[in-house]
Amino acid sequence: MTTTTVAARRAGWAFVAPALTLMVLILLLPIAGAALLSFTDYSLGGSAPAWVGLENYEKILTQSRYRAMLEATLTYVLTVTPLSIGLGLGAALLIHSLRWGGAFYKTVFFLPAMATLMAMSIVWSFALHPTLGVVNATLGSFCGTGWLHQWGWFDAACRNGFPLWLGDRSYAIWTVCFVGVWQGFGFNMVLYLAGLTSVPRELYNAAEMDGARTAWDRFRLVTWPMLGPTTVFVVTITLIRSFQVFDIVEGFYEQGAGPSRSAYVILFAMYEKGIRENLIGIGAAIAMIFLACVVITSLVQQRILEKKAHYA
Amino acid sequence: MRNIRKTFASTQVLKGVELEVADGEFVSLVGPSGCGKSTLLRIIAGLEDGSGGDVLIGNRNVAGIRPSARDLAMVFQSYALYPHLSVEENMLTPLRLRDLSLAERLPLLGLLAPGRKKKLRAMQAAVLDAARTLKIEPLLQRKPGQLSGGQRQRVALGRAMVRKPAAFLMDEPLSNLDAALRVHMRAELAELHRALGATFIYVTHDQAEALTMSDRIAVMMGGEILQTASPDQIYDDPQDLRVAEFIGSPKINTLPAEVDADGRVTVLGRALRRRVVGGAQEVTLAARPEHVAIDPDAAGGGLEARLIHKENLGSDMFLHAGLEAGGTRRRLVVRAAPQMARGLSIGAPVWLRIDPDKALVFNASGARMAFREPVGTAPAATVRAIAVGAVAVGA
Amino acid sequence: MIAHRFSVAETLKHAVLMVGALIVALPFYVMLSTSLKSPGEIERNEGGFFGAQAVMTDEYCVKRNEPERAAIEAARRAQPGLDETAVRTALLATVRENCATRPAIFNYVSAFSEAPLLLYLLNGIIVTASIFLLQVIVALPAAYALAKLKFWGRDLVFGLVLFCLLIPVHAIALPLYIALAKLGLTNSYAALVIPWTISVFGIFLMRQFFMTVPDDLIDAARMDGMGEFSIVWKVMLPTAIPALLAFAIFSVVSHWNDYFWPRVVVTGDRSLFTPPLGLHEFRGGGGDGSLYGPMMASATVIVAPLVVAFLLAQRRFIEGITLSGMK
Repeated sequence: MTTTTVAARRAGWAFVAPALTLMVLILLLPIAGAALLSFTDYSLGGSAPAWVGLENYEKILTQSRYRAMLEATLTYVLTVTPLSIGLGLGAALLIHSLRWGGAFYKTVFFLPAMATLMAMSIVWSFALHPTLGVVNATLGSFCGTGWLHQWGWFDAACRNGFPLWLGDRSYAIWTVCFVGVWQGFGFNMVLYLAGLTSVPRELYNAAEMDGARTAWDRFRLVTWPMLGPTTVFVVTITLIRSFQVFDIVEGFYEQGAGPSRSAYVILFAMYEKGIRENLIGIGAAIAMIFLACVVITSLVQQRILEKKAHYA
Repeated sequence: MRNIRKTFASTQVLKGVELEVADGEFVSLVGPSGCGKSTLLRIIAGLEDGSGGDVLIGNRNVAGIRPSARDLAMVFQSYALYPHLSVEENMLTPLRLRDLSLAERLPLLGLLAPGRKKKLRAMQAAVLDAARTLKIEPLLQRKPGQLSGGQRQRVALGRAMVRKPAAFLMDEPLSNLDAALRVHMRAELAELHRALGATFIYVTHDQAEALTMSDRIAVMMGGEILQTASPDQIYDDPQDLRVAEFIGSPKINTLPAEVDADGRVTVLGRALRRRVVGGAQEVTLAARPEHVAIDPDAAGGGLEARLIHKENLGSDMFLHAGLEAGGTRRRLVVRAAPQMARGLSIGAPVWLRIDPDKALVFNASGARMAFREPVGTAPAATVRAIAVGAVAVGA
Repeated sequence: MIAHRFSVAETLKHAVLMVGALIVALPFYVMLSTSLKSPGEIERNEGGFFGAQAVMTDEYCVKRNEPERAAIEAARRAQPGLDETAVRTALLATVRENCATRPAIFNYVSAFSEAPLLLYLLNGIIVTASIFLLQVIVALPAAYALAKLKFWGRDLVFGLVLFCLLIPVHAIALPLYIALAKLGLTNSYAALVIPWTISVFGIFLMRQFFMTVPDDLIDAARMDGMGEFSIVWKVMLPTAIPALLAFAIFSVVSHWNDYFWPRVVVTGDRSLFTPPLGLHEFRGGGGDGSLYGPMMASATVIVAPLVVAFLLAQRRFIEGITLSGMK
């Protein structure tokens, strides 16, 4: 008996040792490293780094280029998160209530989550191309359809040409958001579908007996509350994924981050400063801000889930 | 005068079912799983559509009427409580949905609706009333997740009660409780039924629940109602072999028998001293364990058998006896008093006597064959005397 | 009663979903269609899905095979009556004829010939496969130890795993990049693989799975004389196949599609490009229609393996990719 215990103890450490070593070297030390670097003006191959205190953070909060970064990032996160969750939930509800054909839509909507985002961003940039793109060509073919001209924007576009989706600074970030939603909502839909199938049917019967007459009543009384845990999770993961947007911007723009930095999202800023311009100190400070956003999101999620633990 | 009548004809699950329930009655639908009893209940509730037939509630045909508008309440097997709502909110739900308009139920705007407060107060009073009846007042603020099975059961009942419906529909409401609690809740449900004076339609696969609580039982099998009658009648006077076999524990004993042209019944070469209505044919003779007597010798003129197994339940002893009948081995279960049975050892030969007055005869298609009246007085009396004698020995 | 009736609501739902499906599928349609069309068709935005597939001349091919001095001289000697320009024109005409091709073939051939797409794909396979293998080798024993072995400090290690789950890899990209640079490892397979060898998520996932494996199974293996090492690889690994498969899909899909990390550590050395990097490089030219065809062909080649695999084994893929939901 004791021999197995001793063996187990020894084996235990032997088995976790490689993982533990790598965890410390690859995850924990770099976190500390990034934190330290963010207070220096370190650059690769440059002279000895100097301690600059909070200067990097001050720059981020004051300089206009970082204002653009925060603005683009928040715009993206606050647009893509609600839209991709709303569309995901809507698609899941519709598909779940279908009598046939649900599997087809599920497959199609999930495709973007599978496809290489870099490739698809390039394809979108081509589809949205002002002259060659299929989007503007299709929109243009509707010009002359009377009732559409009631819509002022459409009417103006027919006369003055459809926008340069990627090149116009008032559209660029929204186009990036659109591709973000396109890519993300199918993932949320799948999570919601899983949540929906786990709602007990008897609850709907009970609601029916209790007099839930309309679809809205049933949704309020059963569906939405029962999807609560799924929603907490979906919101968290979508927020975190939104903070990580990078590929779309790189796929859209050869250099820079869109017209007048309108799509200067946080990871792109970190990459540009830290890697391309070798200003590692400021890049690290951006990384720390990014880290804070993600960690806070995760912690808030855990708090909410703990509160609702006695749910089932 | 409300009564629920239901005629129904379908090819698959239910094959033409007719059931009439009087106001204030407690009717059980009992049968093995898959016999269509739950489907029937769900059709009454309006949760499923029948492929034909009508459901009448108090002479009103409810075809096409939504479940909530049928004035019925249902208690589900899993209780189906809303896990995110407190007990009180759960019980309020049917009232809110019935008595508040859509506008009054809107998340924030609803608060502004006039008269909403007054309505709410009336509802809360109704909930408190039901909670008092069910003794769940202290639980009102809890969530279903914090309750025991029995407590949830009561909350589900309470949610059904607050609406004061025309009838309560119950779908195996006790099957998720442990054995002891189930027996307890049986009594409580029966009392609740008496106190409310409401109509109950109760679905169960457990014959004990049906026998202990109901005014009438409808035994269902293979999508049909085989017999609807009081518990006593169902037990003593089943009209179908399947009913006889389904109701009663241990199961009723059956033996192959013959009827001659005069209606005389012969079992294993021995004549039963009764005659049935009907000509010569092969039949099945059935007798409940308490209607078979056991003798340690051939003096009583019983069928010879061998004792295979003894089951001691304390108050009773069930003796399993094996005998040859028509080339196959048959096992008969006999109820005996423990003192009497103690004298018998396993493997010993025993003699079984079937009480001819209580025996039931079924034809080849399972339908009950009535005895010819009047009863031949003299032989019956002897038999009864012997039977009493057997009990006397036991006592 | 209601079951077989034509339903307005149902039709409306299909209509809404169908519009959504068309928008979602649009870029896939554009990608495939463009990869089949000729430059002219792309520029004029015509030709339906397949394009006319009319014979066209591969200008790259013509440029490569332009008649050389010596060939012209030789031809002139064979045909003395013609002057140099005429011979040149004649020769060029033959070259053009030989370089005639169909648009679809042209696009896909150029995708592989104009950039080392095959090499990129190979790099992608090498990198994703090594990452997954190393992740399993590191994570499986650790997960087993955390789930089934009792040793001092176990809870601490598991706590650390949970803490590391919070760390997004992007946040530590810079220090890792510096470390790799100092070690002289940037622009190497090692740089592409090493940071991913530790998957705390994999450890967490497998540990949760191993918790559900009955202790009796392990005790039986010990009674049979197996050591802890063989228990991991001969008992736990086979029981964990379903979970491992889901994790494999998760890992392979995310690293095949990953663009950020290769972009950071591979600077310039094209022979190390992974497919997304190669595609981004391809984008460089921009502009005219003759490039879009081959570019979309490359995109199709890169996207196709995962999409096809997904269509063949949807359930498993959805399971694997939504795994990240368990975090």
